[in-house]
Amino acid sequence: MQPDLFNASDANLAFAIARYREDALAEVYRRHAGAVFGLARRLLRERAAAEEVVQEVFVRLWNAPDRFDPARGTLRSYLLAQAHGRAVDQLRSEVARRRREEREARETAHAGYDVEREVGDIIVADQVREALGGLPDSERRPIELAYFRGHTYREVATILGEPEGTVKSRIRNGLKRMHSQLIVSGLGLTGDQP
Amino acid sequence: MTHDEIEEMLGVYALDALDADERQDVDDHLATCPRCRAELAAHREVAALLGNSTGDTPAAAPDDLWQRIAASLQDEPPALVSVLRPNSRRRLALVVPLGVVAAGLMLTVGLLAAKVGSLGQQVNSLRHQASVTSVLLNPAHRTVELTSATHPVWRATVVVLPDGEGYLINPSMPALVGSQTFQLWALSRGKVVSLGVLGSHPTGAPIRVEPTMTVLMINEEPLGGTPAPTTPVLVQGNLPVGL
Ligand SMILES: [Zn+2]
Repeated sequence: MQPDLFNASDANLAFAIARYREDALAEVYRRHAGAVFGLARRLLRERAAAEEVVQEVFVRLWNAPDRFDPARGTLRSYLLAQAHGRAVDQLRSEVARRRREEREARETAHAGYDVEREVGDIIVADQVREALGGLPDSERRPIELAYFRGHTYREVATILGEPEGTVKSRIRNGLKRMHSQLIVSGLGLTGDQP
Repeated sequence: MTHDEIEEMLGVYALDALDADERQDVDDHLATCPRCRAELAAHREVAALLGNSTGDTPAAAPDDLWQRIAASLQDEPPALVSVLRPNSRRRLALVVPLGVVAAGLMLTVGLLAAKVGSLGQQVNSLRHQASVTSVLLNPAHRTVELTSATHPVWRATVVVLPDGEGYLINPSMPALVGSQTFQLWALSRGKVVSLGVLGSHPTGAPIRVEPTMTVLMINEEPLGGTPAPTTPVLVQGNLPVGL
């Protein structure tokens, strides 16, 4: 890799990618693929499926770098959002559903397995964890089920036994609360509080 | 759906927790409502932080995965020496008359952008426009007109820098129908080499010009392109010597 890329900003890298610099994509991979992989793996659990998502996200960045708008957020946020969307699509596909059911059946046979996994999953960056943990359970649970489990809000409503409209508002209110909380802890969020 | 109804869905939308049909409703509304766009942007920031917090140490993405990704980027007609990306739907849209730019290299990019806007052209790639603009503003750039001996209205322009970075802009050949594509070729050391396929209705493309290339040509080929030209040249132009 050329030294100029090593020091380039994300926006400059995206610019270089638009100009067919494969080494720029490699540098973006070096910087952000770990986080993208981490999120995909958390959602999909299976390594191969998570790798597939990472591949889709980076190939998409290569094919359509314009879809990343530096004015609207960081490159990492963009890549994570892409990965989340892809992973959730996979989770909701029939094939994946079946695979997940099979795996869950297997895991049930190994008592305790899932519990350990959950503990690991709860390790999140301190401030975000604090903000999430600071929410009332009625808001935190639906956010976790939707974002980290990939459930639709309708599924969340079924799981929690709440009306769909209630789930929608609680998710929205929880996100607003987290937003102001994270501004207070200085995570560098920009934009108006909704 | 009303603004109030959509607004209620923005949180779940930001978490990808809507069903597909509802997602469409929100997308439609967002296109027209700055207030909802602003709220969504804030929800997305929070979602990104959640997504970025999935482990105590960022898991290293596998190296062999990068190898696979890099390999898949070359999934184009294998026989082609393709430096273009034929599937790219991005369009080069810089339409400032070349003479204007060449005559006024001191023009700022901002002014150029204003001109582009005033020409009412479809600019869906600011990034690409900026790339072309930067080439045009570089005093070292050269312009090559590709023309047709038989059809004066068929033209295309290539601007290129000494390092070989170049752009095909403003091709004016009629759009092809059916399973045909335009393909760009170069004469290099007496051989015709493919620079890649341009699609059936090209509006521009980035290209890389090698020092050995002397002539650029465009013809029509079956979709996907061919390794060697099979139909006559439509437009062509000579690259400047010692580029
Ligand atoms: Zn609205």
